[in-house]
Amino acid sequence: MWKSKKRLVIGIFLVLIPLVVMTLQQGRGGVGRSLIARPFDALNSAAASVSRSVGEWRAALEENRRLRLEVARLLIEQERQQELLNENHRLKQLLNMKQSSRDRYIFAHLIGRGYDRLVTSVVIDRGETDGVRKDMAVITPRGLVGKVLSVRGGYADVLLLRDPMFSAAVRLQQGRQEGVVSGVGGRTLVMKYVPPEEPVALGEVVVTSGLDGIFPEGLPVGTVASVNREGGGFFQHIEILPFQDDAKIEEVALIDRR
Amino acid sequence: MNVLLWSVYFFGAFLLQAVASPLLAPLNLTVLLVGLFGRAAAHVYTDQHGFASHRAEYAASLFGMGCGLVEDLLGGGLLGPGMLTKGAIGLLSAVIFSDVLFRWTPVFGGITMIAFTVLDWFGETGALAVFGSLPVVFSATVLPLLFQCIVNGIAGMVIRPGRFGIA
Repeated sequence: MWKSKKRLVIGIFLVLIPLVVMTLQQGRGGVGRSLIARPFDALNSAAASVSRSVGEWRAALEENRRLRLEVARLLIEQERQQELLNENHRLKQLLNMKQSSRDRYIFAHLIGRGYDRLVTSVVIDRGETDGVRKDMAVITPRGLVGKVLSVRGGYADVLLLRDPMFSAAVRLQQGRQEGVVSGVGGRTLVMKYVPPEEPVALGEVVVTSGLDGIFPEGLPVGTVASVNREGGGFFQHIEILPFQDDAKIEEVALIDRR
Repeated sequence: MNVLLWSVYFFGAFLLQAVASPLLAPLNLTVLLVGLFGRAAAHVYTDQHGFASHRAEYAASLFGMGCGLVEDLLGGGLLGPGMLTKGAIGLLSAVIFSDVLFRWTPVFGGITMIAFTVLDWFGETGALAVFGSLPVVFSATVLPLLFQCIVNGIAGMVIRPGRFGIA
């Protein structure tokens, strides 16, 4: 009996409390609910805020990764575009050079460095089948590069200016003194056979004289970098800095003088 | 009663209900939780003669009301229907497993859980219909109820006393 009464009391409370709570929420703008739910709603809001922040952070990370990839791709694309522009510019210069001359030109791309360690040369992608012959002058819009050393089917080796085996008849553009320019294996060339009494100015431009029968007259070679008259020799020691740095050659033109 | 264990079950039930319900179908694991708590309380809180004491009924009712309150708060709607039904289920569970069913069997376990689920549905929809501001379409809630009855019924049959640390 006592047990049943206790159960009844519990049951009444169980029904009463929710009924009171539900009644409080009716017709008073939900005052009852707001009072009870306020701390919970704050907690809920905080949890939602954290969840949203984490979501945004993850989305930002993902976007960051995607944008980095996009930036890398665009940079590569930009570099490629720049390369094409540069090539276009160089080819236009070569084309202009061709138009201002009566000689026939063969254009070629540099495809590698020479195989022989004793010879400073480069390999180009034009050969016998394209009409390339030994001793053809090789130039760029900047100036003389070298001459054809040997020819194979579709390739040719070009002997560069700075090789000791290379030589070409030249003259000073202003002073008109003639000489022979030759490589010494280093960055500069040497102009030989200029007597000590001939005045040679620093910075003077050296061009081919055409007297060797290989290179046409007037091709720019370089500028006078240093002059040494001392030493009591028969000739001055003149160092020439070539216009065309052979580390920066990409396309060349071969002059066919036939 | 192992407070830590029941805390884990409490949070686990709400978490699973919140996560799985939108994906599968609306679960009602809180009914199962309260029912099992009432059963465990009836087993743990006994008097000197070995019968369930009133402590079991108090504990189960309070636990049920607490669960119902949290459920109502999480739902964001009317406060009270969950408290009412879960509290009643807690009390009924403690009473049934102490004074009505002296020996647990899978069939009794399943039937009680199904009965609790139906009672919860009746209580909640009834309270919402009376106190809620929105109209309740009972027919729309029947299919979820069926699914909940199947899930809770199977769970009531499987979770025998002593399993998963539940007395």
